[in-house]
Amino acid sequence: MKNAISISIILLIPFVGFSQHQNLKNAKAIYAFAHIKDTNNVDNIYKEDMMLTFNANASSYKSYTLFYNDSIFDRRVMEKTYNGATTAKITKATYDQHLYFFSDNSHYLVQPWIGDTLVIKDEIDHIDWTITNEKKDIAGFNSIKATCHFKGRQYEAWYCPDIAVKAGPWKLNGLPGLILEAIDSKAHVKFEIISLQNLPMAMVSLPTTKKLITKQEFEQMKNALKQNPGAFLNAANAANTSGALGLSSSVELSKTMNSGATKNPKSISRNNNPLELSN
Amino acid sequence: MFIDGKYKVILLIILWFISYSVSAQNVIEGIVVDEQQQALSNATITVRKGFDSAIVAFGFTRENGRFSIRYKNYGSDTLMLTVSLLGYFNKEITFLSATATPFNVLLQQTKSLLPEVVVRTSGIYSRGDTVNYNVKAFAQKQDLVIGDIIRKLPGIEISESGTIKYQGRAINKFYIEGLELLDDKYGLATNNIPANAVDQVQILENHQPIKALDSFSHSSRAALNLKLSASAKNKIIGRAKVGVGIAPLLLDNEIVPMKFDKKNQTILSYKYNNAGYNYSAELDLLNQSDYYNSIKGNTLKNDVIFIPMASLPNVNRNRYLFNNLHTISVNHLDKLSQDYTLKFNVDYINDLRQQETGTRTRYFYTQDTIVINEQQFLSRKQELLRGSVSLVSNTKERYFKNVTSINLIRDKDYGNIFSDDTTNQKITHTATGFINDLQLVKVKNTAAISFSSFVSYSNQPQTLVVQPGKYAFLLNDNKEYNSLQQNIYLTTFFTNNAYSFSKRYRRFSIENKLGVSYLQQSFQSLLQKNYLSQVLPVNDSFSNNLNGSEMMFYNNLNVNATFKKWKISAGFPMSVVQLAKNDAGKDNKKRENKFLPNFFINSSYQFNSDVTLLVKAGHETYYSSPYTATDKFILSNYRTFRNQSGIFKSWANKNAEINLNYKNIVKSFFSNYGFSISNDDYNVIGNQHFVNTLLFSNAIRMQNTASNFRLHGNISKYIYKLKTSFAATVFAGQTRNKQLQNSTFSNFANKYVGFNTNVNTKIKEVIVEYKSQYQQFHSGFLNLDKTSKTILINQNLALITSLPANFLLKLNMEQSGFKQNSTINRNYYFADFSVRKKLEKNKVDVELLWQNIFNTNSFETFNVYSNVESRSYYRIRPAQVLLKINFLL
Repeated sequence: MKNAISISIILLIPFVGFSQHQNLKNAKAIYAFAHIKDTNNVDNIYKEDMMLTFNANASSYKSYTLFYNDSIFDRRVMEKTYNGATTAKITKATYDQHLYFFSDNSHYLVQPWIGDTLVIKDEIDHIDWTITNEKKDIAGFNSIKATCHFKGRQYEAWYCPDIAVKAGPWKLNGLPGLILEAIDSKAHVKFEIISLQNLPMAMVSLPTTKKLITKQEFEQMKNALKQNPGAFLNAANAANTSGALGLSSSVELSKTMNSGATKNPKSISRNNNPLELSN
Repeated sequence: MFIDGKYKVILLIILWFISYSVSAQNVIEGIVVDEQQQALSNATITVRKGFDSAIVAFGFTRENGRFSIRYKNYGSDTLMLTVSLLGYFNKEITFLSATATPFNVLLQQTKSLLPEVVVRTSGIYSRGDTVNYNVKAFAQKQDLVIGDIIRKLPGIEISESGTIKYQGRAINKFYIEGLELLDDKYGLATNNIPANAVDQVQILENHQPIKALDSFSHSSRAALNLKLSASAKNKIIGRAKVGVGIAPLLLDNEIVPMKFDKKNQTILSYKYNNAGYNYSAELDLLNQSDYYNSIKGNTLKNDVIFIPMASLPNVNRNRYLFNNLHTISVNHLDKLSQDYTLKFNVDYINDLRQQETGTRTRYFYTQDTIVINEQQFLSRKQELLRGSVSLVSNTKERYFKNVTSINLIRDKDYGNIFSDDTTNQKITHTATGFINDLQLVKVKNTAAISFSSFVSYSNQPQTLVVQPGKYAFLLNDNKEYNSLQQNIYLTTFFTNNAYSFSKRYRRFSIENKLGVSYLQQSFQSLLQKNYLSQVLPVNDSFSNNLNGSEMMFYNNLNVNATFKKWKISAGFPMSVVQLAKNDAGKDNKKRENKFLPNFFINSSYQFNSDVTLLVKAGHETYYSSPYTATDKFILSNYRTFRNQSGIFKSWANKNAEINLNYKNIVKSFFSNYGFSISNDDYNVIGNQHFVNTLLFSNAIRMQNTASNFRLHGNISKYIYKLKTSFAATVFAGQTRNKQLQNSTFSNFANKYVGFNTNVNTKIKEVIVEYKSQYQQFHSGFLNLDKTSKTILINQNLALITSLPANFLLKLNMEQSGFKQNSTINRNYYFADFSVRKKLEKNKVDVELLWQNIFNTNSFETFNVYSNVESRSYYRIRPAQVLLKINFLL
C-alpha cells in the first residue's frame, strides 16, 4: 500500500510559479508530424498535425486533431460534411500530451488510461545540442541548424532565435529559440511547422483531478497490459467501472494483443520503427 | 555546453572553479531583469564570436534571473552576448573574452506580436468526440465477422442479446460509413460484415443523432460507426456458410451478400438451420428504450392467452433449442440527395420450435399445498413479416424523419400437456400493426424546437382451444364435452403528439416536452364450448365486450447541470390522465381521472480520480392499458381463469440507489459497492383460489405493497506476478410481497445471497477462463416457519490455445446443478470441443464442432418465488458434430 499512499492528486498546478510579473507572450505552433513506422513499408507514412502552445516558461504538445474534438463545444468549426454523412472521420490520433515547465525542469506526460487519465512526472530530458553555422529561411523565419543525438536517433533541427523560447515539438527542446523543423538522419521522423499564431492567454496547464504517478509505476502498468491483455482488461471491466482505453497509439495494443495466446506472426512487426529507439 | 537549472548551486561553483583551473574554458555570468528590476527566467543567452558568426555557447536564465555559461577561451577576441526573451526586446552586448565580468542585463517589454504565418491549414475534419479503433490492430486469425472484433475492443462489450455497450451503456446509433442502414437491428451487421472489410471501428462519444440538436441537448450516449476499407466498397462482399452435421441430419447454411457505395447501401441475408442456433435474434431491435410508443400502441405482440411452459433453464440456449428456422432480411438505403435518404427494410422469419419439458409446480398455502405435475410437448410455429420505409433529412438547420412500418406476426402453437389426463392446447395469434412516426426539429436562434407525431393501429385476434373440454362440472353441467375455446379480439388505436424545446445556458440545459396522447381500444373475449358438435357460448360471466380510452396531457421538464465535480440531472414528468371504459352497447361508462406528478433525480459526485459516488432517487407512476380492466373471467391458459373486476390497475414506484466506485488503476484494482431500495404500491391485489388444479384469480381493489432491497459489492484485480485477473461479486437482497389466497392474506419474504467469481489467466500458451456462480435462496411465509432453501451452482471452464499451422482449439466445460432443502441434489456436466483453421488463400475458415460430448440428455432446474416453487426438466440436444465452412464472398 505504500505506493498507493504515495499517489497524490494534483489540483491544477499553475504553470507560472515564480515570475508571475513576467510578460509572457503566448503562441501556438502547428507542426506536421510524419513517421515511417514500418521500414518494410516506407510508403505508408503516419501523419498527424500536432499543436504546440508555448510561452517562455512552459509548453504543451498534443494532437491538434483531438484538441479540435475537445474544443468543439466552444468553437464550432464546421466542415463540409464528410460525404454528407452524419459523422466525419478522424483517421488517427495521438492521445498523450507532453507538458514542460522549464522553470522547475519538470516534464509531465498526460496519458489516457482505462477509464482514467494518468499524469507521469519526470525531469526534462537533457539534450546535448550542437549549434552549427548553417542558416535558412523557414516560412519567413530566420532559422539556425542544430544537431543532436536523442532517443537513438540523430536529429537535425532548425530553430528560430527570434522566437526566444526553449520549446519545440515532441520532446525536442532546449535550444535558444523555438524549433521550427526537425528531421532524423534517416528521414523516418519529421516535424515541420505549418502555422504560427499568437494566443491571448496561456493554454498550458495540468488537467484537474488526475492521477499523478511515477514513470516506474507507469512502466509496470504497461507491462501488465502486455503480459495478459485479456485478463488485464477483464479486471478493469469486471467491477463495472468500465471505460475506454486510450493508449498512446493503437500500435501498442496491437503488440500486446498479438503477444496473446493466439500468435499472429505477420501482424507483429507493424511498428518496427518506434519514435524512441533507445532511452 | 550549458548549465541548466537542475544543477545545484554548489555544483555550479565547483564547475566554475574547474573551468578556471582547466583554463581552456571561461564562464560568463550575470542576471537578467526587467524595468522593475524583477528577475526574468528562461531568457536565452547566446555567445557568438562576431555579429554574424556561429554561436559558441548558449544557456538560459534560472528562476532568479541569473545565468552562467561556459565557453571556450578565445583569448582576447571580442565576443557578443545576446539576451532575448519572448515578449521583450533583444539586448546585445559585446565584451572581451578575457575580461568577462558579471553582466546586469535589463530587458524592455515589447508590445509587438510575433509575425503569424500559415504555411498550410491543418487537415482536420471532426465533429463530436471520436474514439478510433484500428481494426487491424485487434484482428486475429480466427475473427470472421466484425462482431468478433468489437467484442474485444476495450471499453466496448456486446451483451448476450447483441446490444453493444460502450462504458456500460447501450449505444444509441449504429452507422456504416456514417449511414444508418439497419436502425436498431444492427445485430445483422455485427454478425455478418466480414472483419476484413472494416478499417476502423469508431465510437462517437456524446453522440446526438439529430444534428440540429447538437448544441442544445447534450447526449451522454455513444454511437458506433464502421469505416470500411477501400477494397470493401463499390463491390459485392459478404459471407456464406455451409454446415453439415449429425445426428440426425443437421444443417447450418447461410448466405449474406452486401454492397456499400457512396449513394447506396444494401445488405441481404438468408439463413437456415436446424442445429439449435437462434439466428432470428440478430434481427431483434436492440434499442428497446425508444419503444414507449410501440408498447403503448400495442403494436408489439401481446399475449393475452398462452400455453404454460417450464421456465428457461440456466444453461446456454443452444443446448435446448430444437428448431427449424429460416430468416430472410432485405435492407436497402438510397441517398436521394445531399439532404435526403430513403430506406427500405424487410424481414421475414419462419421459425418452428419444439420442446419437451416437465414441470412440477407446488403452491404453498397456510392450510394446504397444491401440486401440479405436467409434462409438456410444445410445438411453436411463428411467422413474422416486418417492413418499413423511412425518409430522413438530417441537417444542421432542421431534422425530418418519417417512418412508416407494418408488422405481421402469425403464431401457431400446439401443446400437449400430460397431467392426470392429456390436454391438447392450440393457440393461434395473428398480430397486425401499422405505425407512422414523424419527427421534426428546427433550430431558431438559441433554442431548438421539435415536434413529433406517432400514429398506430394494431389488431391482435387470439384463440386458445383446449381439448378435450375441461371443467365440465363448472362449464357444462357436469357433462363431458369436446373442446373449450377462448377467443380474444383486441384492437388499439394510439396517437401521441408532442412539442418540445430545449435550451442551453452555461452549466445548465433545459428540455421541456409538452404533449397529448390518445388511446382507443376495443376488447372482446368470448368463451365457447363445442358440445355435441355444436359451438355454444359458455356463460355470460365469461365474455367481455368493452371499449376503453385513455386521454393524457403531459409535460416533461428535464434539467441537467454540470459543475466541476457534480453532475445532476433531474426530471419532473407530470401528466393528467383520463381513463374510461364502457361495455359495448350499454350506457355504463366508467371514468377515472388521475393527476400524476412524478420526479427523478440522478447525480454523480467525483471526489477525485479514484472515488465516484452516484445517487439516484425517483417516484414514478404506471398504469395498465384500459382494455385490461375487464370485469368477466378470461381463460388465460388451460388451468387459469383471470378477472380484473373492472379495475384500472396502477402502481407507484419509489426507488433510491447509492453506488460508490473506487479504483486504483496503478494497482489495477477496481471496485464498486451499492445499495438500492424500491417500493411498489399497487391499487389492486389478485385473490387466488384453486378448484382442484384450476386457478381462479380475481382482482380486489386495495393497497398492495411490494418492497425490495439489494446490496452488492464487486472487486476485480489484475495480479501481475500471476498474469491473472480475479473478479468477485457478492450480493444479497430481499423482496417482500403480499398475496391473497382464498381470501386470506399471506406475507412472503424472498431472501437471496450470491457469490460470483471470474478468473482469467494464462498458463504457458493456454488461456484459461473460469467463471462460477453460487446462489442461495430462502423463500416462504414471512412469519411462519414454512420456508424453503435452494442452492444453485454453475461453473464454467474454458481452455483456448493455438497450435502451429493456424489451428485454434477450444475446450469448454460446464457444471450446473442445484440443491433443494438438502433433499434433492442434481448435477449436470457438459463439454464442447472445437477446432478451427483458417485457410487464408481461399478466404475460407473451417470449423469442426463437437457439442455436448457427454451426451447429457436432460437438464433440471429449480425456481422458487414466494409460495410457488417449480422444478422443471428440459430435454437437451444430444451430442452433435458439425462441420462448418465459412466463405468470404
